[in-house]
Amino acid sequence: MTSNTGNHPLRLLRGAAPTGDESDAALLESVRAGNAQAAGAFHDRIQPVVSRTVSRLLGCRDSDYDDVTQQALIELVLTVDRFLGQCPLDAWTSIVSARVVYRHLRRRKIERRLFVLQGLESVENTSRFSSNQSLLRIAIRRIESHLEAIEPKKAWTFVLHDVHGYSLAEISEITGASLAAVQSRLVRARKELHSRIGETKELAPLLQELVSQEGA
Amino acid sequence: MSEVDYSELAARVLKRKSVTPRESGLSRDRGIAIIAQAMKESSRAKRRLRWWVSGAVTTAAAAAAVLTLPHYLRHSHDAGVAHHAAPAACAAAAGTSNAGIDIGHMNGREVVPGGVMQADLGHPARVDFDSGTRMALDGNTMLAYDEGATNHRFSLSRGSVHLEVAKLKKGQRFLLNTADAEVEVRGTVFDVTVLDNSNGCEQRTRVSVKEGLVEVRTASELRSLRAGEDWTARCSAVSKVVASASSSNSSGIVRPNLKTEPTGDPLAKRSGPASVEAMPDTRAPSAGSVAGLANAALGDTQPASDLAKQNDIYARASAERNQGHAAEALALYKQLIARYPSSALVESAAVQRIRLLRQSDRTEAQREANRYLLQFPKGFARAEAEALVNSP
Repeated sequence: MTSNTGNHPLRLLRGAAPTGDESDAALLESVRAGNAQAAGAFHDRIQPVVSRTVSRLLGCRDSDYDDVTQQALIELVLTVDRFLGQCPLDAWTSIVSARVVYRHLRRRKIERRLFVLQGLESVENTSRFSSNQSLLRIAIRRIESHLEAIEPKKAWTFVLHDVHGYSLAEISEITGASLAAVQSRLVRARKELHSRIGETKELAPLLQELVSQEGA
Repeated sequence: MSEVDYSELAARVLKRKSVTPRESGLSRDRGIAIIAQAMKESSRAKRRLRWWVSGAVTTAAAAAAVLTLPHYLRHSHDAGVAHHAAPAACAAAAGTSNAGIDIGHMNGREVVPGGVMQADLGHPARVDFDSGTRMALDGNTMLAYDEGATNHRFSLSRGSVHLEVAKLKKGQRFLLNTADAEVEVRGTVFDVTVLDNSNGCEQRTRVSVKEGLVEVRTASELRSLRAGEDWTARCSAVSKVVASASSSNSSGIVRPNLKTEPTGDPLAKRSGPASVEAMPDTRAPSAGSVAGLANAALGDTQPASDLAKQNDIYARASAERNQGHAAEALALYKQLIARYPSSALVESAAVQRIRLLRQSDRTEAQREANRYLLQFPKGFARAEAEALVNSP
């Protein structure tokens, strides 16, 4: 016969392993369908991102840490239908978690706290034996004092964008403000912070020194 | 001035904070349980949402159906479809042409054929029809809407109604029945009142003309009612009243019930549904309605269809005459006389033939006048006929 398949034995071709996006899509589909079996996998997938986001924004030692984490998990499940896959699951998880933290901080009227203030203890813990770290701690405290003097919405926008790296669109989702408002707040926060630091004699050289050390 | 952006430096310094994610106080099992519970809540919420959406859609569909049903029915009748939600209206439409149903509006409610309009004592009501016809019902008035397609037929069982009848289209008729008369109108404005128990009469009809011209004819007299004039039936004339219309733009026919001998107790005839069942009326589309009551009260044992046909022919002839079609009008009057020689309209038809022929064929008009004098020696147009016969 003309067939020469005998010379090329059939071999098993493994299917391509699902990419992260494909496996995430399948996982989210199960969650949307209410499949209880997917709860464990969904938890394992998002929990690290949630924990990281809440830790960065709220602080590790905050008494409400567990409550906020729990609320973020619930919020992720309830809003999973709105996730259209236009961004990675990690980014969406981070935005939703940040929004939960943001709302939580806004509700707490007793004390005025910013995202950036929460990590101070960790700086203290890690910089106990370093003079440079001591300078860094001092600088951070001075910057935070300036941020506290700025209108909270503008300060939050600055911290979320310039410190934590959220985009303007993401901040818009987190804070519930329009994109134009977020941009305006960011510009004004930068201008005001620059002005305040410039008026402080010791802080400006200290910041320049710290940044130069970072570059070296 | 320094070009250093201190806010950028501040951001870079703040980024150097080493934040170690805290070990969550939530165990994995606890986290999974929270997620599973949230998924259940989400599913429940979705089911509730679906229920509400389906309920809202159903409600909206029902509301849309209710809102569009009258228009749909109107268009159905326009298209010649003889189905209607109300059986009475269906019967009325089936017996007429494809003309649309004229719907009335009374206090925000629609009045369709088969319905009854009632104004309580001290509370007059107003009814506006889509055709432009307007009615004002005095207090303590009951008016039944029997037909509303080609023929507009109403039955006034009590009270008084003021009518402003819109110009009717060709072939359309507007009739109002009372216990002792039937009033047919063509674009006039007038009042019809049923007088109860006055001067020993059980009921009498009074016609008050506001606009146009109405000729009311009885066996012994001819009355031409102009705008502002009234006519009230005499007790003795109740059983024999003939009216004809001769105005070019507006005319009316007031014609009595042709019943010659009322049978039984007149009050007993108004005793309600039992009377209606005992004397079914082929003209009335809805048994038990005021129209049915009124017709039952008439005690009309004659075939009602003949009466309607006679009126139809006479109305068509009058319409042709008003439009200047003398030949067609003459033929229709002749047809009426030949087909219904005992009809009360024969005398009127003969007179109309004389008047029409006088304008075109005087010899034939004189012959017609001679026949009239022989047939109706005491007719209301005797003088007019004699003058024509004696003229050269």
